[in-house]
Amino acid sequence: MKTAQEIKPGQVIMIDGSPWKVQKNEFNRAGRSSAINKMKLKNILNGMQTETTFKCDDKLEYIVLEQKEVTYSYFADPMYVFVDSDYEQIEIEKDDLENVLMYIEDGMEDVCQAVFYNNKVISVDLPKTIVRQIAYTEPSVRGDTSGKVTKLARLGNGHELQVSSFCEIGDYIEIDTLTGEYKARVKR
Amino acid sequence: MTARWTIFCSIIDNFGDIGVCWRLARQLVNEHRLEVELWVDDWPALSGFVSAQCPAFDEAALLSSSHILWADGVCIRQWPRPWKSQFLLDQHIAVSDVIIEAFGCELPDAVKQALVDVSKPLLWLNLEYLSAETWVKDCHGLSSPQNVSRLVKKIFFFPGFEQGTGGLLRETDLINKHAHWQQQADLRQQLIQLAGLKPVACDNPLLVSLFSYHTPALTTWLDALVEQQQPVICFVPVGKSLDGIQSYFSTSQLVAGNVLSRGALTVVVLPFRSQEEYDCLLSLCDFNLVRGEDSFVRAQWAARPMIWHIYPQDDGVHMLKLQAFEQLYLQGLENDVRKAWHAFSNGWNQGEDCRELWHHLRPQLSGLQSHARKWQKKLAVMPDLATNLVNFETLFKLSAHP
Repeated sequence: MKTAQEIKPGQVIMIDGSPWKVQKNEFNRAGRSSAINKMKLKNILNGMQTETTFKCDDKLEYIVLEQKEVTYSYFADPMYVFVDSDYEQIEIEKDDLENVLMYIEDGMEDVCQAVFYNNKVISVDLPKTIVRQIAYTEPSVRGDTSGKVTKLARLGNGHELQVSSFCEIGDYIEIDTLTGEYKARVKR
Repeated sequence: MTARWTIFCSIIDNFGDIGVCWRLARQLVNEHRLEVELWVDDWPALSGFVSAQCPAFDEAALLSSSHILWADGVCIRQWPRPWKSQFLLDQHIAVSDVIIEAFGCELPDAVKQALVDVSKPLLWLNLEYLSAETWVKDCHGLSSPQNVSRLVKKIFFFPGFEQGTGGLLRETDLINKHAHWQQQADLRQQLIQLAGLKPVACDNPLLVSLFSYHTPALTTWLDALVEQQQPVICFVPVGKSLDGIQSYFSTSQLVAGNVLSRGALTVVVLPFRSQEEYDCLLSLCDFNLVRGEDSFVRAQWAARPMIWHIYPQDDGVHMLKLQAFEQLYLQGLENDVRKAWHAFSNGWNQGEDCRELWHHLRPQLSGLQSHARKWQKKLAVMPDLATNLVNFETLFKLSAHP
């Protein structure tokens, strides 16, 4: 059992005997010392989606699922195809890539964790930190090297995020995949 | 057959929790003709509270009672901690039509266990704290699966200021009562006489009520009241709000009926009042400093200028809640008035020097007065909390028995 507050997106909880994948888990402080978790859930068996609330210390039954290392291979509309270490192809739906989709691009080499339930992939997790190249950003602001001033940058797949103002087109940057935030400029 | 609602209330601080639960229970009984059992865990506190609401009850007798009593049609029962599980009692609760855990208090495990075997649909409501934050609308009415029984549905129910929330507690006749009180010049005069002011001195005094948590801002506000031109009478009910007054006047052991004066300020210590008497006090005062949830809501129905001392939370998250309320409450106010209210509210809640802030706020009270009326009317358009709860249960029943 885990408390509602400890459950992370991608994990699976059992409700009335059915497995539900947690797609989002938002924490809100209510009055006094109480807190509430609002979860977006998807039923693994029938795809039904719902939103629920829990007290943050409500105990939930969660299940540990089989995991496998995979890497992204190609997009075969509407499926995203990953391969495992045995070169077995695994097709994954867009909805099951919710937290990853924004970082998927051709040629990416990140080793991801595919999570299975009854032999079906229900989610894919990226490493905590990934490196991506900036495809476009406005020219740097002269004189600012502190990194505190930010500007918008676009990645090769069109995803946009705030980066330090000294970053240039073609630079490689580290991204925290849990927060979605820029971490640092790196050399390659 | 009359539906039976069971409310669990844990008294944590003063009479805010029981105040809300008691109002709700009475309204469900008197206006919606429901059978209500109210379980309260702090019997001594409850006894003091009930004897203030219903003068027919003697506090000492209540304390020694068999821990079950009827007041205003509500059956009040002692919630023993720890819960003494009795099969029949657990079952009795489990056959309620609705169970409310007020302010997220946790149901006893034995009661939850009894819910596993219910044979008819049961609505289990977690009635949450009041907040104006935007996430409240997103969470209001969402289910909270508990793996007890498919017949039991647990829902988070949030009071609120906007459509899409559970609304605020408001008895059917409350707005009319305030209008009536405010038209009675003699009621205001009776309040003024409590201060024992001479007729010349009491010519058009400013009446304020104070019910707040401890804050260093109090001393500076009192300083400002002392140096006002206009006489001011500050009514303070007995309780923790008095601590700051005692220290300001370098006195101790203040009791109801005491009157203290310095400069333009006269402080009157009031006895613990019934909810209706407190509503009337809020209605008659020109400015109310209120706190927590119950008096905060009642001050808005009184349609008088007010400042909210929000319950302070360790991580400062209460300031976000204050800002969220401010964003709603100050809409449509002139800039000067809004600035003065915001500055005083922030100063009070952050324990800052409020002396100058009061001198800026004071001239804006007439603007705040007309705004408070508009705000009251705006809120009164929405269904009240009790009605929303009853309507929610009706829909639940329809969905359970289509």
